[in-house]
Amino acid sequence: MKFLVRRFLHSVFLLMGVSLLSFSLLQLTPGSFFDEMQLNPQISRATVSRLRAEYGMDRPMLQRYVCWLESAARGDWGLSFAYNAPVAPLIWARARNTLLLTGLALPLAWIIALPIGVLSAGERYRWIDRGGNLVASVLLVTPELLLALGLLWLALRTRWFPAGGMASVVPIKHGAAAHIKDLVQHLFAPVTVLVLGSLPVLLRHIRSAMVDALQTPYIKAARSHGIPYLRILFRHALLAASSPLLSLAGLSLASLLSVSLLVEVIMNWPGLGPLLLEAILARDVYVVVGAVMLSGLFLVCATAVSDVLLFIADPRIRTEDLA
Amino acid sequence: MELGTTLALDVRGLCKTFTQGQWWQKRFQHRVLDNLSLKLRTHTTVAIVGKSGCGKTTLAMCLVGLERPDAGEILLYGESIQFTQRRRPTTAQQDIQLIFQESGGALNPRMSAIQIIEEPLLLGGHYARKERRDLAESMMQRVGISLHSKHRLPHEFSGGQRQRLAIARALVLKPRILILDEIFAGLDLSIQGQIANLLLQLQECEGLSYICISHNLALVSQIAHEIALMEQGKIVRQMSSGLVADYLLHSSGGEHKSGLQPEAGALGAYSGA
Repeated sequence: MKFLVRRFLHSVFLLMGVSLLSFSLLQLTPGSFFDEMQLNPQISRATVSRLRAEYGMDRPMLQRYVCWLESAARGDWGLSFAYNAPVAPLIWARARNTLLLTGLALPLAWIIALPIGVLSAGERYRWIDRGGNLVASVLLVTPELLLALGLLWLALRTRWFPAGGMASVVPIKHGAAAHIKDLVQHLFAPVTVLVLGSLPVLLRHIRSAMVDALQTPYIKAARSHGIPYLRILFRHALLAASSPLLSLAGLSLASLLSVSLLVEVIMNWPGLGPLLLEAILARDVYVVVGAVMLSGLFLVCATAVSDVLLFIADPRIRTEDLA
Repeated sequence: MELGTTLALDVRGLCKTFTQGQWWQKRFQHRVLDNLSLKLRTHTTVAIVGKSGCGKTTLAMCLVGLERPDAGEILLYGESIQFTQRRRPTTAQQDIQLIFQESGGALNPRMSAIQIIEEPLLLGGHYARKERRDLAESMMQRVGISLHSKHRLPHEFSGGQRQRLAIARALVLKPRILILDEIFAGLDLSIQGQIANLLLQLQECEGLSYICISHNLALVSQIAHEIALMEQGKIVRQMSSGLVADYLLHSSGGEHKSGLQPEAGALGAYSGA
């Protein structure tokens, strides 16, 4: 319990740090949302400076930060200049789609990587290991951008699945089943890119953690006592390898999120990615900070969850804490 | 106790060579077991003594099937153990059990004592869950661990108790041959005595044969009926443990100087005792 409380406080401090850092970094970037307006001859200089004052951009940074904190506490997370609306609902509508994407890709990548990684560690230097290695290496050197473009090209050529977007433009039949089918078809390309992109790193890590685990004396002992091979691999070795892998699971969400922003932009998926890109280009400060904060929140939650799992998975940590 | 007359284990011409170096490197062959032959009669303890690196542990690994010998034959009660498949036949797996040096490391730190002991019973799937638990519990009592501690984890036991756990795990499948690989290493003298007594007592009741691997001649000659001297992958001499002192005294400085020099000190202690 003490462990959990400590974890929680730690996370809160971390998020504060992230917000402060992203705030000051955005402060350092040249230009602001209103600079482009000044170029427009139809908008008078007075209007621009009035707008600037209205949004509080003329005040010093710290003061704005405190204001933003207040609005974050209210649940608004600041005001978007471009949309002239609170940031929170704006981001939330997009974040749901991003979450759908990563929430699907993450377990899928693990489900694929786990058995292959475990088996290639068990069958080291045999064909399954070499094959897995080859695939992992090829995927590792292929940038996600190329993968995404390749899939789009495939989609255009074959029309097996839609190229980008989240829903068909042409009205489809009514009914939940038809909608879900449409959604799944649109999910296929981005999820595939995300899974293929995160697969090599997972594979390599699972394999090396398992190879380490398989060399421990108690695995050898289990083998000599004639305990079935698959049980040794999955019951003994995988549990022994679980500590580094659980930490990796938290981290893999982070990398997946950042890749997913890119993929969303390319595949025109209405997630956080396009919103963040627009906001950065337009210097829509609060939207950027909000999106960064949300990704930070995901990451912190994921690592917290993986830490708790770690705590549960290893009886040694558990007993030490109780003692 | 009366020694058996039939052969429990008959090892004939066992060879094992390890190749070191990758294919792009210069390779060299390391011959660990070189035409090794060993006979173990039933109800007997044979101690294999030799200096480190002479292939004692590799021999143990071959006997339990963790390594595959390159040549040679292992007869278990007159029947050859086939190494053609990747796994040994189940009967051989049940009959020969190995207890490792450093049993602390050989017990899965995530499993409780009772889980560790009952796990080998999964082999072959002959036992129901309840049966497994009962067998494991009775085995725990046999080796002298109280049932109160059955849910404890290995690191919560002392070294001697861990060794007892390892023995219980090996015995739960009712093997006929037990290979003890340096099991006294790292235990203090009184615990060594306790474990040795436990092993003798188990041998008496269950009719087990032991292969006891050690480099401590003094300790091992207390429990072994026969001593096999191992040197560079071969058993150079297998003799009754009463004769070993004479043999070594006479041959020291002679043909086995290189192999058994380290044991000379231990031998002195033994012959003085």
